Formats: sequence, C-alpha cells, structure tokens
Amino acid sequence: MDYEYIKQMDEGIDRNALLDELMMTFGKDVWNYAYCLTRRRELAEDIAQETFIKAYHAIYSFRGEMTMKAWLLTIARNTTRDYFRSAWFRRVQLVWEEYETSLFHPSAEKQWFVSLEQREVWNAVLSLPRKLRETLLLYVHHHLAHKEIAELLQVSEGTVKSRIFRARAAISRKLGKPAAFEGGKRP
Amino acid sequence: MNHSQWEKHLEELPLGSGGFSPKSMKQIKERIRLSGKRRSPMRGIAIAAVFTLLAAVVWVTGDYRQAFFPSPGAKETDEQEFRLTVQYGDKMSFMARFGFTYMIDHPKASFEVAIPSDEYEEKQDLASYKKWVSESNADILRVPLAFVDDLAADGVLVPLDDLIKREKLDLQALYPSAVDLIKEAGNGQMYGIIDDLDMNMLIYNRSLFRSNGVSLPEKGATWDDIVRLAARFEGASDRGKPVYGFSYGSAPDPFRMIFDIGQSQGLSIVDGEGHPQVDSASWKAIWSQVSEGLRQGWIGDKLPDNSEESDPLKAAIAGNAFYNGRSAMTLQPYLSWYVMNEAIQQGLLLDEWDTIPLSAPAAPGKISSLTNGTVYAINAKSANPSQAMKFIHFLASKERSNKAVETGGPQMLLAAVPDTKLGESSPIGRYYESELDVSAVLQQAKRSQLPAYNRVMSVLSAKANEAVRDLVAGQSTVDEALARLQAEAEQAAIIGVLEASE
Repeated sequence: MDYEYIKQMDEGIDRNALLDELMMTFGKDVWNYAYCLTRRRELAEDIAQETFIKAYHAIYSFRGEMTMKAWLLTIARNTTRDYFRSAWFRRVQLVWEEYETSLFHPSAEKQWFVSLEQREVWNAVLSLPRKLRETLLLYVHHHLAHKEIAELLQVSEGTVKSRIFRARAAISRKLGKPAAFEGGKRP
Repeated sequence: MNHSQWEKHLEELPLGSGGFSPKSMKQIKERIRLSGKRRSPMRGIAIAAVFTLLAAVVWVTGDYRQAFFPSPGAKETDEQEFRLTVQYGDKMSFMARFGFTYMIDHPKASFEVAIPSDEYEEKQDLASYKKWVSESNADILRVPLAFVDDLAADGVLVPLDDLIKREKLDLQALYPSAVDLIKEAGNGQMYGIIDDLDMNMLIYNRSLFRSNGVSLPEKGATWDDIVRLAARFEGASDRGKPVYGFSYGSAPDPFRMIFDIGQSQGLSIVDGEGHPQVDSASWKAIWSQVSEGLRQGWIGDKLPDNSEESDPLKAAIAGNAFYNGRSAMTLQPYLSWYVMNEAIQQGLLLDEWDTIPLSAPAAPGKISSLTNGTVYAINAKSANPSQAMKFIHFLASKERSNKAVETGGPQMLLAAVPDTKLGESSPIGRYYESELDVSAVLQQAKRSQLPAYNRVMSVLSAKANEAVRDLVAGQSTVDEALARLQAEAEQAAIIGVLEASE
C-alpha cells in the first residue's frame, strides 16, 4: 500500500479509517519490534499502543520520505527510548536484564516453536548486543531496506551493512558450535 | 553455518498467540477517544489545526518561517531568527509538547533536539552525562536533580539569577518548594527551573471514616499514624463487600506499596555510600506493618477482579479499591488523578474525599520524596543563553500552567502555580499547597543515582513480592525475609559498583 497520498490530503482524510488500516497492516511489525527492543510482552503492548496513538495524531505530518512501516517503527523506537528513560522503568525493569537467562523459557514456550532449531536461532539473535540485534531484525524480520534502517537508527548505510555482516557472522559462529544437550554433536 | 540456512527462522516471531491483536486495536481506539474527551473541544480543535499546519509545513520544508502564516495568537516580533537545541528524546514529541506552542509567540524560533548518548542511557551516571554534555550542542539541558550541584560546581551550567532578573521571571509565581529545592541543589543559587513535578499524597475517603466511626487523618500524619487508623477498619464492610483501611494501586504489588511508604518516611534502600540497607530497623517496621495489615485484611490486596477488563483505563479503575469506594485511604501521585476522576465521572466513587501529605516523623506536614521532577537548565556552552532563558520562562509561566488546567491537564505539576480557580473537584491545589522537605528530597535523589542503587532495586523488584506473600502466609518471619533480601542486594550492589568503575 502506497501512503504517498496522505501528504496531498491534509485534513481531507478519514483518520479513523486510516488508523484501522495501519493497525491491521503494521500492528504485528510494530509489536514485534517493540518486543525485540524490550523483551517484555506487556511493555511491547504499551509501546505498540503508544506508537499508533502518536501516529494517529501526527498522521498529517507523514510526508512519504520513508515507507509507512519505517515511519511507524521510528515512532516505536523513540517511544521505547522514552520508556527506558523513565524513572520507574529504570528502577524496576532492569530485573529482566538480570534474571532472564533465555528469552524463551522452554516450559512456557515450547508449543510455539516449529523446531528446536527455531528456538536456538531466536535465542542466538536476541542475545546479540542490542545494536547488532536491532539492525539484523529490521533487515531480516521487518524487511526494511538499508537506507530506511539507516534513517531509523540515525546511522550511515555503511554502518547498517557492517552491523548486519557482524550479526550474521556472530550467529553463524554460535549456531555452528556443538550444542550441549546433544552431547557435543550436531546432526 | 551460513546465514541463509537460519535466517528463514526469523520470518516469524515465535510467540504463538502473543502480540498485536484485535484487543490491542480496540484499546488504542478507546484511548484516542478518551484523550479527545479531556480537552475543551474548541480549544483542542484550534490547537490541533495549528499543530497540523505547522507540522506539515515544517516537515516538508524544514523551515519554520513558512510554517508561520496567520494563526491564532501569532505575534509581531522584532526578534531575529534563532535556533535552540533542547535535550529531549525525539523531535516529534518535543514539537508536539512544547515547540509548536512556543513558536506561536516566537515565530522566528526553530528547534533541534539533542538526544543523550547511548553510554549515558546505559549508565545513567554523572560522568557519562557530563561527557555527553561536553560533546553536545544542547542549549537547554534536562538535568537529573542529583547532578545539579556537581555540574554547577564544574561550571557546566549557567547560574540563572541574573538572567531571571533580566527576563523578569516572577519566582513568586512558582511552586515555592520547587524554588527552595533547586536553590538547595545549587548551594543557594538557581541553576535551573523544576517542571513536571509529582509526589505521592495520602488520599482518604471522608465518608468511609465517618460511617465507621474513625477519626480523620490529620496533616502531619506519619505512616505509623496511618497504620493505627487503617487497623480500625479491620472487619469493616459495605453492602457485603470488604472495606479496607488502606489500599494501593490497581493491581497487587505489595513491594511497590512498601517502597513508596518507605520513601514517604524518608527511607532509602541504600545508605549514603550506596550500601544496601534493606533490613534496617525502619524498613523492618514497615514490612511488619504491611504484612500484618495484609494478613488481617485491613490493607487491601485482594482487589476487585479486573482480569477480564480489556480496556486499560477501565481495568485501572476496576482494580483500584479506593476508586470503587472500598478503601479508606490510598497513596498516589497527581499523575493518577486522571484515572480517579474517570471513576468519579462514572459514578463509581461518590464519596467525599480529601488529601494530605504523608510525612516522615522528622518533617511533619512535609513530603520527603518526589516521584518525578525535571530540571531545565542552560548549558554554559550555549551561544544563546538569553533565548534559552526565554524558553525556560515560557515553561515556568503562569500562562502555561493556567492553559494546562483549562484544557483538562496538566499530567503533573508544572513549574508555576496556576491562577485558575482549581475548585474542589481536583486535588491539584492540595499538591501545590504541600511543602517539600528539600533536604530529604535531595538526599533521595542523590542516593538513587549511586552505582549500586539500580541493581539493588532490581533484586527487590524481582524477589520482594514473593517474600511478602510468604510472610502473609506465615511461611517466614520478617527477619528471615529481609535477611535473604539484604544478602542478595549486597551481591547485586557489588556488581553495580564494578560496572560503574568500568
């Protein structure tokens, strides 16, 4: 869907209908991105909601310089940053950095995984340093272009490509290592 | 293993039914609808129209001058064009909250934002903040209260007394305790203005006190006084449902209750050196009182069931015993007034209520800690301190506070006390009337910035609620529970100190 028409229309647009369409089209992307940044479902939900509320109020300022998806993810990223900065969050949420050893606890999540390999891959990705993780997922999961990622993250395209390269190398190395549960041998 | 072999697994986030849902969409629409209700419609339309036009043109052209075409309140000015850079999270939020409003009266203004560094984001300490300030081009800084004295001593901040006089900023119009606080932080000089203040106050239900024959809490009350009053409600009920002497929040979180009570009594989880003091005699007393109250039923924990409520606002109301007229007292910041007001509008809370500070024994009638506060200061490197001061004056203006009250806000206390008749329906007047124990507030602020603090807080956040449940169930004593938490906090504190020294 091309949202270029928005910049032509200013107030002649049904914001509520547009909001519905944006949520249906991009809700999952925004939520997933917020989850990957925060690693908390409840927080991802809050951030996703805040993102669409902000987008609703700022929709007439969308000028089509980036795709709608990238624009929404930029809002989500900034909203996440605000959460990380809030006083209570700093006090309480740090617990998740400390006490979660694996993003997906096998007992709770096992029914969602198609394969053990999928869980391994996601755990490997989500344990990457934040900058590498975020860049890789924007590229591979959200399918943004290098240029869009560069704008969203406020870095150069070269940095984006470098981070993707390093992230891929780190995960490929990690997955290439023997897995303990199989006694040191991979099939 | 090559990346093409594993990247296919990243197409889907494997969370099953977790994630964005029709329920999420419904809540978003409800929140938008309710946020539109809070404001005076005509003023809201006028402001939205101005913002929309400004946003559209500035976004396209990057040129604020093209954005200034006839709009309500636009002023003739002999100002030269100028740009201010403000420390803030992102430009869109800044412009929506402050920038566009400021530009109506200052059409030659333009803004950029300076976003603090990743290093400061992670460490949240003085050294990384100072480093970021030295490398940034911010004119206006939002400085943590705990850093003001050090930054002032190092010449990083502009002393404002002369600028305040030149700008004719009326300090008498500001919330007096905030002026005292910023002067205390600057060793007698003002290095900033405090905005977005908030603090916990005790809110009580007069009708429940009357109907249960319990005397009302008085100004100067400490937590011990509140415990004595709350215990009088043991066994109380109203139309077949239990009535509590004290409750807290909209979802069971006894640790947060204990923590906020402790802060109100001037307690901190670390001492002045950053060593955990989770098991101090004063904390033990509060833990004992709260667990006793939960066990005996005069502190509410089994709150009304809001688990089926999908709307977050409705869930917050449904889960809060005080908002449903089933609790005699609660502790909350001004930020929660919006939810309480909804409960009143919906007819769920019909009783008379009032609010007083919950004081520490050492400072009767005063408040010992803030839940929020932002210090706006001027970077000594700023090339435009006069314009920076004008912006700070705008933040601290009565006009801004009055407009906020007229349009259904503000969310927290703005720097200037509003003139507008605040009326009996809002507690904002009581919050502004309250006095801070500035030394205690500053001490709390400083301790919360010590290297070990966040780590100690993490431990408590993870483990304390379970400890309270064990206490209430009689599975441990307070001494045992706090000894365990103290030991874990000490381990965590060591890590915090090591990390800070890296």
